[in-house]
Amino acid sequence: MTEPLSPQAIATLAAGYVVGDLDPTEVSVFEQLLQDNPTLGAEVAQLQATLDRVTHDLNSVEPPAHLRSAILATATTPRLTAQFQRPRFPWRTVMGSIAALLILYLGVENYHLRQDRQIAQDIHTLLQQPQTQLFSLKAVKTADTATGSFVVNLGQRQGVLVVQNLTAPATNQVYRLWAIADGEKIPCGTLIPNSQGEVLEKFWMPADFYDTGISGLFVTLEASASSRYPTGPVVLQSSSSTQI
Amino acid sequence: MPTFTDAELLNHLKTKQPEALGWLYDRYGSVVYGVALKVLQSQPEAEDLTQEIFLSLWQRPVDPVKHGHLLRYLIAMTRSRAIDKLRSRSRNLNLVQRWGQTFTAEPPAPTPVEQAVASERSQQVRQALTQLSERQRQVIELAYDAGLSQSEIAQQLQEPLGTVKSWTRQGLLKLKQLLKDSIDEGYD
Repeated sequence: MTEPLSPQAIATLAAGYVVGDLDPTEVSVFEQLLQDNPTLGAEVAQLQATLDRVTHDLNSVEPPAHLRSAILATATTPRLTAQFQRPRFPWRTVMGSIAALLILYLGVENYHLRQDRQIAQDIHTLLQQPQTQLFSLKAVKTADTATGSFVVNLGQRQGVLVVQNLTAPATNQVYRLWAIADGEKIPCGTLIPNSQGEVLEKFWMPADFYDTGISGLFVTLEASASSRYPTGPVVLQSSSSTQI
Repeated sequence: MPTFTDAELLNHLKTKQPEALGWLYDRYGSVVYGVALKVLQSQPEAEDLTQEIFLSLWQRPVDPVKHGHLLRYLIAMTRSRAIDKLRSRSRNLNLVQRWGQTFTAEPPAPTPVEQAVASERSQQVRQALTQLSERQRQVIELAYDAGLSQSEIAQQLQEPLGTVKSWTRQGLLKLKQLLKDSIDEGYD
């Protein structure tokens, strides 16, 4: 970018930065602007405060007065704590898988998106947890070179998906990730490949969904990003899972 | 309540100080309850879920470094667990899909419960939203009220993702101007 940006363009970038929807190039441009112009930080803070205020107030409903004391009373009453399930398999050292993840982790660094750096940190954290599972995903069609990995820790309620070589979906289609738990197909969310066909997404994996553990994962091409059941063709499927 | 940051409150929570849980509840209880109520459409179930969320924070405090933006984290956690409960409550009725479709056309009218408790502060945001263009208001509400991702919004409105992004950014910039005074008054 050689020409200076107009104040309006900078304001728009700042808004996109706070919303979290800038593409990697825009993030680089904006972060450089932030470095060069510290007062821009105040603008970002103000936009963040506005967005927080809007989010808070659009969702806020005053709970009944007794709820606060009920929660505090329960929290401070001693009780038996739930024991986490022991891993079904003894700990294993899976050097190959860890190496693969490290490569992905390093690849992640190229994105320069602040969200992605957060995800990279999440992968790092997940790898240090017991009971972390790693799934390899392969394309269903042999001609398709898309591959991926999904690292998940249900104790942490987090999963991170990394996919390469995924072709952009048609304009009216989206990729969706599904997890199989107890024979059920549970929607995890939507995947949006970048221009290089890469996906890096973090998914919230509520433990309640998966109390029987995850037996597999797959990605389908769907007509709707809010579909709750898979109806489109399967594009990627997990071929193996490893307990780290 | 002392003006602790979220990170400070989470650190106090780690050391099992019950007052920190109370302060967190004072800050976010209404959001957690509101999101739960929105999805579950049942006051008793929303109360149960609110209790569950705060007790899980108490038992397993989240890392303030990772979840410095606690508002976003709590909304995501509440919405996700609420949808889980909907699924187990009645898969046959397909409530999840019904809920998802509630936001396809017009934003829903507030229920009597919601109306009764809508605070003056929340009215300011609602009022500010009416001053945005129709499209800007719609994308902001779909994102931050209905909880849809931008790609889901683009899909639902049948507009290109770039257009949705642009409306969202312009909407936020305008809201910043409209809400400037009340935010400067000391919203942390």
